[in-house]
Amino acid sequence: MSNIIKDIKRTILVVEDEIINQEILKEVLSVEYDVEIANNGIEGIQKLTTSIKPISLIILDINMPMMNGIEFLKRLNEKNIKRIPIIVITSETETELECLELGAIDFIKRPFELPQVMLARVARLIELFEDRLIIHASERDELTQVYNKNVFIEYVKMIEEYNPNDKMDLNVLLVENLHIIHELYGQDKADEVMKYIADELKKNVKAYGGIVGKLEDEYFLVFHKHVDNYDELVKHFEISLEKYGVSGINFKLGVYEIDDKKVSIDVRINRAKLTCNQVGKFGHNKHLAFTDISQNNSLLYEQLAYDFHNSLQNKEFVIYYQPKYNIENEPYISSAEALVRWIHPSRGMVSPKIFIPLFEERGFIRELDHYVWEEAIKHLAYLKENNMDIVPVSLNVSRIDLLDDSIVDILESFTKKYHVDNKYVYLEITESAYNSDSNHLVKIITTLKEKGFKIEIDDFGAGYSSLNALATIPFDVLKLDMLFVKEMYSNDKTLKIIELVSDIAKYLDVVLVAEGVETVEQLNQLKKFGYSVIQGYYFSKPLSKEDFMKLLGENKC
Amino acid sequence: MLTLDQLDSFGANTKTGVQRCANKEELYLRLVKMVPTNASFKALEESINHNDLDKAFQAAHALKGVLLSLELTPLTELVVEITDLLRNKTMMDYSNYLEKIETLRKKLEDICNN
Repeated sequence: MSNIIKDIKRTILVVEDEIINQEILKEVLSVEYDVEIANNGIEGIQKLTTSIKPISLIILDINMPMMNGIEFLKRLNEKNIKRIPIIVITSETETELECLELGAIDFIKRPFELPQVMLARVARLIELFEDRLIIHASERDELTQVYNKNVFIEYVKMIEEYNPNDKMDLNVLLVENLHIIHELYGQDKADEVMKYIADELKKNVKAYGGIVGKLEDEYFLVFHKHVDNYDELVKHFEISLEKYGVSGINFKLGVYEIDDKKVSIDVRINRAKLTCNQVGKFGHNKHLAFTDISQNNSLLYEQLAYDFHNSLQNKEFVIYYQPKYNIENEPYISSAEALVRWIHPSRGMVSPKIFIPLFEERGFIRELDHYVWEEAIKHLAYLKENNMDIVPVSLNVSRIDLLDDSIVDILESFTKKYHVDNKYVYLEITESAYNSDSNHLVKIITTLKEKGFKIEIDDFGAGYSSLNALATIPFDVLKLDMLFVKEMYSNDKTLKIIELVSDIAKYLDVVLVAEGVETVEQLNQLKKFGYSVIQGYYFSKPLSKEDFMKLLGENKC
Repeated sequence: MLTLDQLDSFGANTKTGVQRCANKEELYLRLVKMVPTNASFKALEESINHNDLDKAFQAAHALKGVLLSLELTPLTELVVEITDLLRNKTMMDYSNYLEKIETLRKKLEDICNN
């Protein structure tokens, strides 16, 4: 209960004929409440109907002249006054059941318990009751009177907690063509259809011991015991819709069978909805199970896109570090590239080759990049704080990041926050970024360089040739695309180009990096050409934060 | 003036009684003083004399509540017993009980009036 309503002084009605007991109750309760006294049931009813202040709780004696406690309870039921919790004072166990049946929620036995206990009990009951009223008012979808999404989720959690061994299905049902009803017959009719469907759904689902909620728009949520074959349930539901007699209304059901309860309910809902949207694409069924289609690629992408924000929040994106070795003399780790890995809760490690293009397409990539940047910079600070040698970290910057002027402020906000010198942060910018608005790009990169960040041209030589980019972008490091290294010996030309790039780097006086180096031959060749920094499996694969720190500890720079 | 000591020697559990009255000794003593004149004593006696066991039970029950609250133990014990008998509508001679109750009521009244 929020503090605002906690601080209100509430009123308790004591219905009790014995003056001595009245006095005791009044004395005890008045510490925290206003107390109204009624000498019998009749007076009690009068007080309830005439009291200006709302009564928060009634303490009721059973044996009273004029109108006793039982009569009083019956009268309240007739009058439909059920919104006030009632505690009955009793020393007669045989009346307790009757009182409970008539709506009492608790008892105080004679002799009264100690004042603190009584006060605590009263406070708790008022709180529970008021919470219940608030919940009741806000837990349902206004139109259809089924649970709203949040409450639905709470109930799912509760049901699973109490029935941990039951296999359950969480499904999403979409009402189709409602917009047609809306256009033909108007809003009221469309509302009526939704209400009807909600009621029918409740009836149908009840048979399976389940609950119904509302997701959004025309989507309903359903949770019930696992059903092996949905044909019957769906047929049943079809018949109820036909009975209603509005043609054109249709529905789709996406079924998510819960095999792993660790999958969050949000994710399950998303998957069921995803599946629901795919109904019809795989035949003429009105229902489809997640497992039937999860192998499908497009669905995988949809699922990954759905899972992105949850995963980001749950820190399922993990930063790996691939060391870069300086090979001019005895090799040592001179920096590392921060690479993002997605440890997906149900799919395990998801390849960046899959999710990076997807997130670029869906517009999530900036969010992910920012997350990676902050985590990597935070890690630099961690190393510093623990008196470890720190080496610069390279961060990948997507093309889209560079379209936005705020990139400078964002990066600086991280380095300031973690007290890391900008010179430890290398920004790997793909050459292809240059293809967009180059003036703007050059301006931003120049600013970043002025702020002390190091600029690294990534994947040089891949895609379009852009020597022009080298001429206009101020940069510190040139990184050869890994394809050249891979195909180093496939023909003479490749080798020549690798050498040529080395000359360019020397000429421009920038550090030259080769990545994708796996063999000692590659290494020696590159060293001969004057490549000073090497990244690749020959030295090390990308490492977890912990393993990277271990390796760094042994580093002799 | 009525004191807790006097009530203790009467057999009352004044410690709990006072606690129940929100730890207010003065309130406790004031309420105890109201007991001897409580109408239920008279109602109990009269309804037994009229053989109205229902009404007698009501009176005994009400009395029991008060006595329990104030921890007036010797009187409480008697009233609890008679309440149970009356609840079961036991046909018997209650005069012995009434006498004992009256003796203790009088004793309490004397202490209160000092």
